[in-house]
Amino acid sequence: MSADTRSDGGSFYEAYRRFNDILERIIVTVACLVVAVIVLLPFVGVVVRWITGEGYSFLAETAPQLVPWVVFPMIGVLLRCDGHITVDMLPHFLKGRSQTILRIVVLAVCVLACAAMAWFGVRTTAFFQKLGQLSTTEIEFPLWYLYASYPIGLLLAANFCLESLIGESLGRRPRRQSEVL
Amino acid sequence: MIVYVLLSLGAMLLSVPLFIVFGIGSAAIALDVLGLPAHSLMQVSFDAMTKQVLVAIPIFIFAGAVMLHGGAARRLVDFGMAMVGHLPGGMAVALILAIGVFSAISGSILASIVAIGTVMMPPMIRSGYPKPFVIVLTAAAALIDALIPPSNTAIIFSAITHVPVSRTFAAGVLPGIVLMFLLLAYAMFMCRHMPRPEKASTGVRARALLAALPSLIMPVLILGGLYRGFMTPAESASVASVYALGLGWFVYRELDWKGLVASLRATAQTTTAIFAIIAMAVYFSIILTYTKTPQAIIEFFVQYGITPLGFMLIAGLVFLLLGTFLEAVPIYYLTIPIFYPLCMALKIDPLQFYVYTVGLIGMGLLTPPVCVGIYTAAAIIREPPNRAFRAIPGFLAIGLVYAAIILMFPWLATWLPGLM
Repeated sequence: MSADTRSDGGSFYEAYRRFNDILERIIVTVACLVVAVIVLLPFVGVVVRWITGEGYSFLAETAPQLVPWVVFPMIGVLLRCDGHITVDMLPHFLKGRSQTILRIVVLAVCVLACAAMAWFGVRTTAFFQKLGQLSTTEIEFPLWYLYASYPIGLLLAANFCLESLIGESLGRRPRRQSEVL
Repeated sequence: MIVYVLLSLGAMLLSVPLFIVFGIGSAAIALDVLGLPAHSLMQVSFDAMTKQVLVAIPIFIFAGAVMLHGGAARRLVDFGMAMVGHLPGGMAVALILAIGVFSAISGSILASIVAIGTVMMPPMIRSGYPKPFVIVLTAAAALIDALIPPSNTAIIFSAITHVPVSRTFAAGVLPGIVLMFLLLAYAMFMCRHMPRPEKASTGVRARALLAALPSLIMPVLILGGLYRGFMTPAESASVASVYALGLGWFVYRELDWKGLVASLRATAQTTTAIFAIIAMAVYFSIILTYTKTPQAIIEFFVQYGITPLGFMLIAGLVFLLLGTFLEAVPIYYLTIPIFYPLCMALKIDPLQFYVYTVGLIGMGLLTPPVCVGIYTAAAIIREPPNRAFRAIPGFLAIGLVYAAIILMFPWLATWLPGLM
């Protein structure tokens, strides 16, 4: 590989990474807002019940329905900072180049798996959209609104994994700490 | 099917994220081998994620994160030091008690390690406590979190088995206290020669109590509403979160926008790590149901006339081994669909089974190669985790004593829920 090609690959990667940085910020901001709603809705339910003496089912039902819209879009963000739960035994035994090769293999598996799951998600969501099935909650909504989080999230995850894979192959992937508690 | 199982195991060992291993491996078996329709997998996955009881998990994580950023941990540690700092191994005792109280606020083991460990570990090391001991003690004390309510593990166990969360929470209280006393006795013995401060005056103790009192009220708030039947687990978690926000912002004045955003971000990330596994691991339950595996295993055990004690010992070994490699969420989703029907068949109380297994899985946080608890505690004082490994055996022995106590005295798990 010539120096120019390397530099082209590098600048493409930098641009791709910057784009994904912005995408990640948007996803995290939306996820934080949805988490805030999930936290506050049951509290509002308690206060309303206490004041009016009546409970409203939608206040209890909405929070769980929002969870997939936090989880699936955030899957890619966590893959980007190695924040997912793994059996990370092998990386502790490997050093240097062999550890890098392992990371590349794992990221390649992740890209393929996320892409396959996203494709599966698109097909299934389209099936539910055609079916026109509605939720059984107090406020009815088409179920595919919920299911759409799956293909969208996994498509985003495949994109983030691809960026990590390229970065790892070029030896330029930044190491970041996840904030998983 | 065997090819898919072997490929999944291979991917797991390569450290491919578990949600992908479960998602792709189980989906391949369900679709290709069992011929199930794809949309049924999607439905099962979303049904599992949107269970009403599970939404309490992110909310309890948020409450813990806010308490972490809001200054509660330091006050709990100060209170512990004022009360017991003068005892043999006083700092270790204060650490265990502070984690015990923090456990009644937070549902996350790692949040407890970070919250109390950050405040307590550096001064312990400055006072001469050996680093490996401090690291493993902090990780081991956080196991109390898995037992003392609210506990994310209890919520997940309830979601899988349909045992009410209030009963699972109650089942963990006495075993949590037993584990705390075992750790206290061990820490006091091991640190009996460590330097200790003078006994705090009544004034200092009163001031420490006053500062910690708002945090000490929080467990009453969480459990009171739940057990009086006023609130669901999600609602009590939500009320606790709002209380924690008010406490950190207006009373302790240590929570700011940065802390609030960090709490929301940590909650979103932790929720994703847990629920991604839940969404995919339920495919495995479908495979078990269709292949009638639990029934075959029950028949096998019945045929060989296994006793409840024999079953508990075998189950204990399985959980201990799995805990070495995996965390509580995937272990429960993989094993409970098999073990729970067996418990029922052998007339073992599921609550005894829960507190027994949660202790054994918790020991996995301490056992290499995958010992998340030790990694987290070691990261706080920037020490390589492998240097802490030599302090592990003593704490593992405590874990085994705990498991033996639960086996011998099942009422520890069943007495409190029985009063409800």
